[in-house]
This record gives sequence, C-alpha cells and structure tokens, in this order.
Amino acid sequence: MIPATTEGLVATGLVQTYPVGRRLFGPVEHFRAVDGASFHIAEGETLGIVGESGSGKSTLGRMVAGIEAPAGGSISFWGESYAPVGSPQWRRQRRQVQVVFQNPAAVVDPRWTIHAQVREALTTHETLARSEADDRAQAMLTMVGLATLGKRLPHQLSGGQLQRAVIARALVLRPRLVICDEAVSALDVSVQAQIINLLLELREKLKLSLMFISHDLSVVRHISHRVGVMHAGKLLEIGDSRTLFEAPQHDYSRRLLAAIPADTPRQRRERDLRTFGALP
Amino acid sequence: MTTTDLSSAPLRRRGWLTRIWKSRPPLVIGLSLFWLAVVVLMALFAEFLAPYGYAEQSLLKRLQPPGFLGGLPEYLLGTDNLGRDVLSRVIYAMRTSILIALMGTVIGASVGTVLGIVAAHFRGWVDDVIMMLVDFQAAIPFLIVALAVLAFFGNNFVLLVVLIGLFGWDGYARIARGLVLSTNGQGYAFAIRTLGVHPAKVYIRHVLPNMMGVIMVQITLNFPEIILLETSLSFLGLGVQPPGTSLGLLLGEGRNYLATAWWIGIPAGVVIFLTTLAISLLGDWLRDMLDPNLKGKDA
Repeated sequence: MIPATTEGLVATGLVQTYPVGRRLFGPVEHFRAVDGASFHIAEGETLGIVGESGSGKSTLGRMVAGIEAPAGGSISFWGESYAPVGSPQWRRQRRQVQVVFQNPAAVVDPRWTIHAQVREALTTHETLARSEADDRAQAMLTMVGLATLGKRLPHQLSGGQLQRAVIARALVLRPRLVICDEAVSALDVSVQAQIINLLLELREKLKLSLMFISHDLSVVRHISHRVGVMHAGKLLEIGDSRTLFEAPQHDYSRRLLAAIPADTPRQRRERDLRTFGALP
Repeated sequence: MTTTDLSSAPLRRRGWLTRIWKSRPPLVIGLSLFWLAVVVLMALFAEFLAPYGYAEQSLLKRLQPPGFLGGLPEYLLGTDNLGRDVLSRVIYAMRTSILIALMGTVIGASVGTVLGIVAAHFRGWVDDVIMMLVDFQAAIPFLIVALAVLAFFGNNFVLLVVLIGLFGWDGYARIARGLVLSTNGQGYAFAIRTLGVHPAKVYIRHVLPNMMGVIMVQITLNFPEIILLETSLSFLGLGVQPPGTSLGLLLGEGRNYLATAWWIGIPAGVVIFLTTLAISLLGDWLRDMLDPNLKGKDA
C-alpha cells in the first residue's frame, strides 16, 4: 500500500510520547501524542492533515519536519533518514524540509529587515557573494509579492505580508517538502485566500511537496491532493481529497466533515441525512 | 497612511545616532547625559582638573568651609580634618568609584547573561545547578559575604572588583534565561534554528541583540546599586583603603564631622545621588530607544 519509493517522504508507524509526570517512586507516565501513523507524500503532492485540537497533527508535522525525533517508527525522506536533531548533518538537511508556522510575528527576528532574514537563510547553506545573496533574496521576495517591502522591519508589515515573508524565507532554500502548520489560521479570510493561492502557485513553480496541517476543513480540501484525518493520535483514514470529503469511510471523519458549514440549509439537510441516516 | 505610500516609500535605515538625535531627547535626558559626561571627564582627567593632590595635606588650613561660604578662596569646597582639598578628593573619588562600578557591572552583566543563556540552552541539570546558584545569591545578604571574604583574604583592588562584579549577576541570569526560553520555545530563535543556522550564531546574531534593551535597563538598575555597594564597603573600611579615596570613603570620613563641617561628606553624597539618578533616567529612556517595535513610529 505504501510505495517503496525514494521519490518522496515515507513515514512508517510514527509514534511520539511525552512524559506527563510521575507518581512518587512510580514509573514516568507517558502520553501518546501520535500513536502509529503511516503515510507517504509523493514528490509534488500535497497531503492535508485535519483533526480537532489536540489530535496530534502538529506533533506529526514536527516529526515529519525532523524538528522532533519520533519515539517510534521511521521516516524515509527521499530515501534518506534524518540525522539526530541539532547535529551538523541535521542542519544541512534543513535545506530540504522547511516549516511555515502559525504565527508569523513570533517566528521572525523583530530587529532584522525581512530581506536580511531571507538572505540569512540562503547564506546559511551556500557561500555566496554579498551581491548575489542580495539578488536571490530579492528575487524570492518578488516571487511572494513583497518586491518593494524588503527593507521593512517585521512590525511594519501586516500579518499577511509577514506570512509571505516567512514563506519566502522557507522557500529561498528550495526545499523539497514544506510543512504548513496552521499556516493561515491566524489570518483573516481574504488574506487566507491570498496565501493559499500563493502556495498553490509556488507549489507548481517550484515542484514542492506540501504537508498542510489545519483544523480548517474547507482550506485543506481546497489545497490538498490527499487528506488524512487524525483523532486522538491516530491517523484514522487517509485518502484522495475528493473521495474523502464526499464519502468518508470512518465514523469520526463523517462527524468531523459534518461540521463544515453548508452553503444552503437544503444542502445541510441532505448531508446530515447522508451522515447520520436520520435528522437529529 | 495609505497602502500606496507604504509600498512606494520603503523606509530608509538611519544610523542609530541620527535616530536618537531625531527623536529629540527630553530635557532631563540632556541633563543626565551632561552630568554623566562631566563625571566621566573628571574621572578621566582628574590629574589636570583637581587643583591639589588627593592626599596633599596642609594641617594649618584644616576644616576650612567652602570658598564661596567665607572660607579660603583657594579651596572651593573647603578642606577636611587633615587640611586636604575636598574638591580634589571628590574628583579623584569619582575616578575610583566609577572605575570599580564600571568593571563590576561589566563582570556581573557578562557572567549573568552567559550563565542565563547556558541554563536556558541546555536545560536539565545544568539549568538546575545555575538556578540553584541564583537562588543562593538571592538568599544570602551579599554585603555580609563581601565583608567575610574581604576580612578573610585581606583587601586588594582585584578582589574588590571581582566581588563587586559578582553582585547582581543573578538578576542578569534570570532575565537572560527567561528571554532565551521564550524565544527558544515557539519563538524566532527556534524558527531560525529550523532554517539550519547554528545555535551559537542564533544567540550572537539574534537573541543577544534582542536582549540588549532589557539588559541595558537591568544595568542601569544594577549600576547605582553597585556604586552604593562600593560606597558601603568603603564606608565600613573594607573597600578602598586610605590614603586612596572613593565616594564611600569620603562619606565615611565626613560622617564624623557632619554637624560641624558638613562640606566634607555632602559633596560626595551629592555626586552619588546625581550619578545614580542620571543613570536610572537614562536607562529608562534608552530602553524605549532600543525597542524595535517603537522605531519609526515617532516620525
């Protein structure tokens, strides 16, 4: 079922546990945040992950990004495995996989212009002449629509502009895989649409693989080729976006999808009938 | 401000000096700066500014009131019980006290900041040990420790500076640790490390410069305390030794004559008061200047 390929990311039986305290003289108790998740992301593919708060989707994203080592299971990233977190090889691998976080204002240095921050990402991985680094950072900013704003400090940009800057900083490395962890959740709806369209456009242009984590089902549906549903640390169901949203197999998925607001009351009645068999 | 003029006029980066000049410092800040400049100049050029040597006695002219209050005109601030010129002694005392406080502050700030960063970076037992030391420092009255150490090892300048430097490091450590923890958790330091930047570079390029504002304010809180600590030690006779002079020593010498010859102690007291006040005011203002979120909003 999972293709034995070197083109893409293959996760097998990922487990993550966190200690939640211990009783006096007792064993340390663990909470299983992710409990055996297996999936793959093909080159150029977008995998959406949906689930309620606390279902383990962010933890899954952090393991896939290599920021956290899994407690169990394995990840094959284009045939390679991740080096131990913090090692020199791990730092080199950061070039291949990047994360776009939820709150752009918290993840940029408030004292550096966004151009300088994009350039820093680039020069960390390549030895470049100053002018060439400047040009490439500028080209990346232009690609995300911030051509004239590079000299700004983060607080002089709006939330949407700042998220574009963060995307530019991640993509200037030309990664193969980008994990968007609630990347648009903090933005208002019209800006969300702009960022989603930007991601769609860059995905084509740069042949990116994406893992798109969100609790916003309609956004995930719009952007993903395939979608996985998480609940209580388990990946309940994973399938083609269209199939999953129209005919969810798992009972939990059905209930989760029923939470999407319907366009009209009629649609809602029909869907409820389909989901629950009878009107509540 | 409209969107068009935002995008068509990207902000120019000005030098920090220009920025400070453009922000039109208030009058108190000007006065504070002026006073500190006077203190620093006096400390630097004490030999040329002081009319007499700091230990130069003329026993026949003891306990003269200040020149402008009916004393001898050649002694502007009068003379002490050994006939030494008070003005000259205050000028030399500034040099000693400022030097000790400055070195002490540098030692305390560097040790504290580095230990705070180390604690937050490694966590685990390293963090536990460093924070335990911080708690020790906060729980023990430092003056008593300093007295004990100086009494035991005898007095010398290096030991005094090191001791004074270790006063207040716990404040810096606590602040640095807290700031690093918050930026490491979900903040920019963490995010920049996920770009593949080496942690040491993250601390030097990003975390430290962002901490400078807060550290600077802590320095301005700590510096007056250090001056007062040096003053207390010298006052008690365990700091700078006669015939050397420091502001605290002058105060201590003047204490015995406060009722009869107030001009021996009061000038040193005034200098201590004005200097600590000026530094505190300046620190408060500097913090606002160094905050990037306030930059460019004043124009």
